[in-house]
Amino acid sequence: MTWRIRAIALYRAGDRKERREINFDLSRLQIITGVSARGKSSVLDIVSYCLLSGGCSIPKGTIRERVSDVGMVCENAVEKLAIVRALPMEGELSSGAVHLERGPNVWFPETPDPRWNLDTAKEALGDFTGIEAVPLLENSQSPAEPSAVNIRHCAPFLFQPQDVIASRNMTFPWLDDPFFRRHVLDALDYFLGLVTMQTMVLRAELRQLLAEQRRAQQAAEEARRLRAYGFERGLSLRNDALVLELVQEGSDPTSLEDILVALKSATAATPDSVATAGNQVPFDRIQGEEARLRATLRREELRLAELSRYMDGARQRGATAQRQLDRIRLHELFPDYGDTMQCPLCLSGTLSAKEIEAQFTFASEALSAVADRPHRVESRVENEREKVVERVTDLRARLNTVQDQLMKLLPLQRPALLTEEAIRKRLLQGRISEYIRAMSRVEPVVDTDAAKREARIKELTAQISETAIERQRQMLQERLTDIIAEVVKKLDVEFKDDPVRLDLKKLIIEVKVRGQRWVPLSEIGSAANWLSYHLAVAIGLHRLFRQQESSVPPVLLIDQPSQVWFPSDRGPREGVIAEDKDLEAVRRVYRLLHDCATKDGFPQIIVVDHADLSEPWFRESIREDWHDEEHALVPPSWLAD
Amino acid sequence: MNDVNGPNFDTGLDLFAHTNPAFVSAVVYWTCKGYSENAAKKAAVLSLAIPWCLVSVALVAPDRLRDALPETSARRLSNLMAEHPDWKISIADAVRLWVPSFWAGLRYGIAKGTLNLTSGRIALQQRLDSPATPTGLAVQKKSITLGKVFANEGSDAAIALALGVEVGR
Repeated sequence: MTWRIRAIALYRAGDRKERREINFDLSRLQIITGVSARGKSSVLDIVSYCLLSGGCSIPKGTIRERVSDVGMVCENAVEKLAIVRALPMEGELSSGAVHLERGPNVWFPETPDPRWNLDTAKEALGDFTGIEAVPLLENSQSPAEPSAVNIRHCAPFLFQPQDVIASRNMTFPWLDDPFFRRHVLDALDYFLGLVTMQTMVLRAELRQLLAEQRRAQQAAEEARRLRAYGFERGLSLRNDALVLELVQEGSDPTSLEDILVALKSATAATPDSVATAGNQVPFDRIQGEEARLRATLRREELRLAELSRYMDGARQRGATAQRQLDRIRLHELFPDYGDTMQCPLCLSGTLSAKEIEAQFTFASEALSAVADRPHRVESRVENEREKVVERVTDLRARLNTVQDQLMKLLPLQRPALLTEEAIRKRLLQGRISEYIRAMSRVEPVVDTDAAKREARIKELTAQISETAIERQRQMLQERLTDIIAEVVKKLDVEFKDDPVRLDLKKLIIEVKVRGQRWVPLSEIGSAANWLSYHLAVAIGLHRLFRQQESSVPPVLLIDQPSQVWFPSDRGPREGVIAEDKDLEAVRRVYRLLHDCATKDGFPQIIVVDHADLSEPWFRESIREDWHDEEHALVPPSWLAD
Repeated sequence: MNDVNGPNFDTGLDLFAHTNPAFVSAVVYWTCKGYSENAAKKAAVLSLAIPWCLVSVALVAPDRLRDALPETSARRLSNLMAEHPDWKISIADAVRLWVPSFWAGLRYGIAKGTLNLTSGRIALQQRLDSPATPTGLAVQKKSITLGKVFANEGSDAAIALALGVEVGR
């Protein structure tokens, strides 16, 4: 489904109606020859620009000043695709507007109508080329969403510009950008058929199967772990439920299943709601009455104690006074002895009996007043005390009654406790439900698809794993090396008999010098060697693409393959330098290109060069000859203004 | 001048009642009576030395000490003091405090003719009636018993030894 170049065109700046077209055959070698500064190399730039490059490498100067648009018509077996892009305006790096037209008889439009942007144009061109939008490329901005392969990722293989074809360090153009180089390397797997859209589908399937396998393994592991630790936890919950009477008491469970049965019954139980538990009416009233009685009783008891203390104190004071009075009254036992008592020593009457007796009388009367308590007061106090005792007795009886009521109500109708218990039951039921949910994962998951899945994973792994792809890449590498070896034999290189390969993982050319080790091109001398190996590798790679039925267009554009033998100001022209060794080398190169494009079925090789050989096959291959003043990429008439 | 502490606002009614001369005199009388009863059995001096009367007042007057005194005279004074070691410590101060009241009581008893001083010792003279009140009976009984206990010791020196005091210093 891939294409070749049918023609390129340049639109004259200004009216855009005048157009310069260069037509190509779809196969065989086609040469545009001419002297310097005629725009030969720009042919490659125009094709690259029409392949929707991000920048514009068409040189500034005559072309950018005299040309407004450039275009290309690609053709496959069925239809054509016309691409026309405006050249960047002054100060712009590129133009994002593209004219695209696709159909069996499509040709360059008279006036381009650029209605496509670059991304949609790439999609259209990729579709025309047969490139599937395989999401294969690493996307640094969104690693989870790889970018798709597009036409730009095969463009480097279509070109061998002047600065690349004889380079010792660069195999293909534009690969000095590491990001683009990474994408080209990844896309190469697709272009070589190592990774296809089917591969991506299979990869997605493998990824899904591996995820399923991982989930199954995790579930099995979790079940094993839960089974190991779940019994102890379940037993603890069951015991809690037993305490809160959420389950009936019975024999101790001996297995996890027994525990689960018991706990499921616990979650089915419906404890009183908090509202129900709090809706117990008489308790508060009785509790209030009890508190009131208790306070009254306390007051009365204090009063009784005070009265009792008073009575006891009065009695004590009376007793003491009585004892003192008894002591005083001892004087009554003594005989009377006149008014004056004599001193026992001198017998003088120094003591006044009257005075002493008066003291005894005074003391007796005073103590008698204390000892003989006022009975009226005492009786009143006693009466009051008796009343208080009665009230206390009554209050105690009532308090006992109320407390009995409370004690009877307490186990059945204790609101606070019931509320708390209801909350605890609800909490425990929540924990049990969570446990049961966790334990449901313990039940063995019957993985009926395990064996089938394992087999499919094995099959897919063998088919699309990195190892399998690497194995296939290695095979292609060897096949490419064989193809290159055939081409190299036809060129004049230093190590003609030594194998040459293109490292498909690095895109560098290596030569196994003297059969010892692979040496990169950068370590090999002579520009002729570099150019020859580049040609051999480019041709060999395209042959491999064809064998792999790749979507890479079978188009190779080569700029100045004679440069290493003839500088651009001294082009090899027959008759000027004859029978020269360098000329023979150039002839050998062109002969190879001619043979490849015709005999070996390599369809389209477009070369721009100074070379102008006299061999008939060369002359037949010349598509444009710009050696005289009348011919160039930009017609001289456009330069008149 | 009257050196007997009568009931007034300074001494207080209780203090007067506690230390009144009739009470002290009665205690001395009954102690001497008990002493003389037992001393007669032992053919010793019938009158009691003044210091032992003072000790007797100090032990019989306080209700708590009086209750702790023996009911009978069978106990020896030395045993009694051994059973109450706190007495040995406090008796000197107590006796000292009782001295003014003791002398007042002694003078009161002599003046009433119930007591008499003979050869520096206190002897019974006129008879004192028996009390009718419980306190009076208890004071009478314990005082007589204590007097008998003193007599049982046989001599002033023995009493002094039992009490742990030295007389005359």
